[in-house]
Amino acid sequence: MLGEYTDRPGPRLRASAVRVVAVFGSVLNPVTERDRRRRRVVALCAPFAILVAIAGAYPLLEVVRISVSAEQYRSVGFSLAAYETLFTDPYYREVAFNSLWLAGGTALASVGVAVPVAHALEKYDLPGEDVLVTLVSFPISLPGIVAAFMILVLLGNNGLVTNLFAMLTGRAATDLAIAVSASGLFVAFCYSMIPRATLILRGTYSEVDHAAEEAAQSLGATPWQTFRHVTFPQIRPGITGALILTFRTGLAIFGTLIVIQTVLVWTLQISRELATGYNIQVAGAMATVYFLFTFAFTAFGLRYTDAEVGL
Amino acid sequence: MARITLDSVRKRYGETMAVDGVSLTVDDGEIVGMLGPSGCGKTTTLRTVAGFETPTAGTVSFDERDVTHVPPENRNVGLVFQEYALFDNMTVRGNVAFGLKMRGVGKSERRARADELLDMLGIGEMADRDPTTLSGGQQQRVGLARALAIEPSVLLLDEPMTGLDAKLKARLRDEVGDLLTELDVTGLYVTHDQEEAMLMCDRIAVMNEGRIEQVGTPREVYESPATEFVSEFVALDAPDLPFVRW
Amino acid sequence: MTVAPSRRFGRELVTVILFLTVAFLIAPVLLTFVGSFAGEWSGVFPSEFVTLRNWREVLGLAETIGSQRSMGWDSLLSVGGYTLAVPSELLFSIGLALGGVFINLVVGVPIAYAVARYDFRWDEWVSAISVLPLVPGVILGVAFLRAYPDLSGTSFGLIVGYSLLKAPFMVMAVRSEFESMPLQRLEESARSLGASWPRTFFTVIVPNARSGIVSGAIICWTLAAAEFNFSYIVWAKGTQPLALFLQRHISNSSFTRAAAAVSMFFCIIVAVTVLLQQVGSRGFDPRG
Repeated sequence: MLGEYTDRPGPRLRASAVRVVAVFGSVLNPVTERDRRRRRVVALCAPFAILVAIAGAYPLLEVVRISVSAEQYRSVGFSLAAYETLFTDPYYREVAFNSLWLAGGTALASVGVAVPVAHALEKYDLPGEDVLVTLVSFPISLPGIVAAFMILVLLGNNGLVTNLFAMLTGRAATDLAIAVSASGLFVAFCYSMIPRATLILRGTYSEVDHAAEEAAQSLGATPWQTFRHVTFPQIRPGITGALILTFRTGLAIFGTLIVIQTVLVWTLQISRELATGYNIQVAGAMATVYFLFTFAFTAFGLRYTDAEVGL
Repeated sequence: MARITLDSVRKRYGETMAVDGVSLTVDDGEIVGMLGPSGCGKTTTLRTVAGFETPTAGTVSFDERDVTHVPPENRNVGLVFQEYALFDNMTVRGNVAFGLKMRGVGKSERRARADELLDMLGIGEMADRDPTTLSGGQQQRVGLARALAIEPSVLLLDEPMTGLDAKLKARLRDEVGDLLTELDVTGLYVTHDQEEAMLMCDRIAVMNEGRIEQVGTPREVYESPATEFVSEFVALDAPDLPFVRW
Repeated sequence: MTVAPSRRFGRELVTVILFLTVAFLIAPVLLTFVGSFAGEWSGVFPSEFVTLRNWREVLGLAETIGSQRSMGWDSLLSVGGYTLAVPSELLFSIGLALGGVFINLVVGVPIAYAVARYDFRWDEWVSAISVLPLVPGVILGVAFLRAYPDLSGTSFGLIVGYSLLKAPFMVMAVRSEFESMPLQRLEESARSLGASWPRTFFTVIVPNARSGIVSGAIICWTLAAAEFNFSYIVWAKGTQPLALFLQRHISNSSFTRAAAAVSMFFCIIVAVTVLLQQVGSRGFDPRG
């Protein structure tokens, strides 16, 4: 009998079941204004939830499923072979290491540049400030492949900087070009990340308390001391937020790497797993590890630091 | 217009009792002020009358009809806020006519009634303007006209004068007071300002910590406060006499 | 008495860093645009000006070697012997991005309203999930290939993918607009006047937030049109999205022709940015 399974739920289970039914009941057939409000919140969140379920949660679950499948192309059985490969093969360890230092290094460098840029834009009365803001924000809309092309224009064989140095030193431009190298890639990442970091920091700077800075100045603090002891503590949440954002951006960069394929990182390796022999199991395991890592990293960053959420 | 009756209304939010057993009757054509410090439950009480909060216990009735569970859009109440909350996507006339449109009143009639109200409030020439271009006092008049246009059972005013400068406040107070008397509006007027309450209202309910401490005419409340709280709260920076209506 | 170095040089140093950064970000953009009109680009600056050949080749208006990398042309309509044709990659991408924006509007505006207007259980989580792009394009691409093997490379798959990837930007833009409005008062005023809640939402709330909604839509459109990572993983055959078309040129074409392809993209971005500023630029600001 089917009924026997539901025959005697424990009293606590029954109480919570009653509560769940009550919530559903109040959403479907609201009596109080609070019920109606609950129904509205459900209705407002529903379209987004449906999109996330169809386009996000279900595909990701499928990826997790295939990554622990015993067979290569079908989700059957259970096997951790793909993860074993990822965690024991030194090749993947190097790929992971590449991703982490590239993203970490460029995040630090970009935020390091963005702090003085935001400082100048928000604190100094510069001529044409609106134009400068627009120019600094413009690269946000450029995809990684275009960022890579910009670096080719500056540092490639035909690059502006390359050829200026070639003219000055008398050496061949092709010997000086660094666009297609790890350092070129580093600069290309920074090209994408500096504008985003600046955007966040400008927001933080606009909330800085000017009175405290002026008070420090009038007490004889030098500009550097004022920055170090008064301004910096106030913009720290913005700096943490910008570091989290740029680090995540750095891990996700892919287009830049398609153009400048010099360092093998996690995202590029995922696409190679698919391109050579459609190794969806390992690609799936890599995607799962990546997703869990960034999710944990973001949740940790937002929970345990004073960072502000940003895109 | 209608008689408003609150019967032992309670509203609890988790552990806090925001309104703790309020019973009050506002007679047809009467303006009752709800006076008290911030957090005393006066705004929550007003919101239960409007229908934005369903009381945890007790009932709200308009005349003989129990409206405790009727949603706000079916209650026919007029609302005027401190923040005006005009609809910036419509003209001034569009704002005033909005309630009539929701009731299916035809276009020409809507227009005529909106213009009539705007004239009455002295801003007839502003009808085609964008509300954001109006001054604070003018915006508040539009807010009042919008609420009056639906001929509400009760007009609820939530600190409508707060934020206006003293001179404008005094002028608007006299004008609006006269208009409400003339239109014979039933009103509930929430404020933390004793002077305003005493000048605008027929009776005053002084609230503290979710309860009504005293209900009476302004003179009764001022001259014979029922509790220590009332005497302290009302005596505190006592308004300049004479009062206009008692 | 000595003057602290930061008082003497601090401001100059910071200003120099700003201008160097602007130069680093913008010089290659300008050079690319100038170079797209050059016949030859070797040495410091491009040379052999002014030629429209690169643009013509990229847009598929000139037959050359490597013209399979140029845009195809679709005839849009024919009237009396004249045919109005449009570059197919451009049209395709515009359409895909518009589809993504449409879904973003349907899912993004309501949830932005829920988060900005109401307090509810888990609201902080809902707010974080709705504005954080948690799944990067490459990962989503792999997931789509696995979950929807037949659909992922089609226009429908691309549109759905774009909409999920770009939804946070829509929610951000619309939410910051909503947060600048007296939402509760507006909603309560309209409802006290007799408008039901859905009617209030559509006739009062949404029209009042139109500038935020429009700028959110433009941002999402730009980002979806330029989306590369997801497209690269899932795209299989047929007309290419714009970003893949760009990559094809950057990786394979002559430098001047690649410059023309990238410049064409710049033109689109600039046009959209100008449009954005017209409707009151709010969206790129993280906090509004």
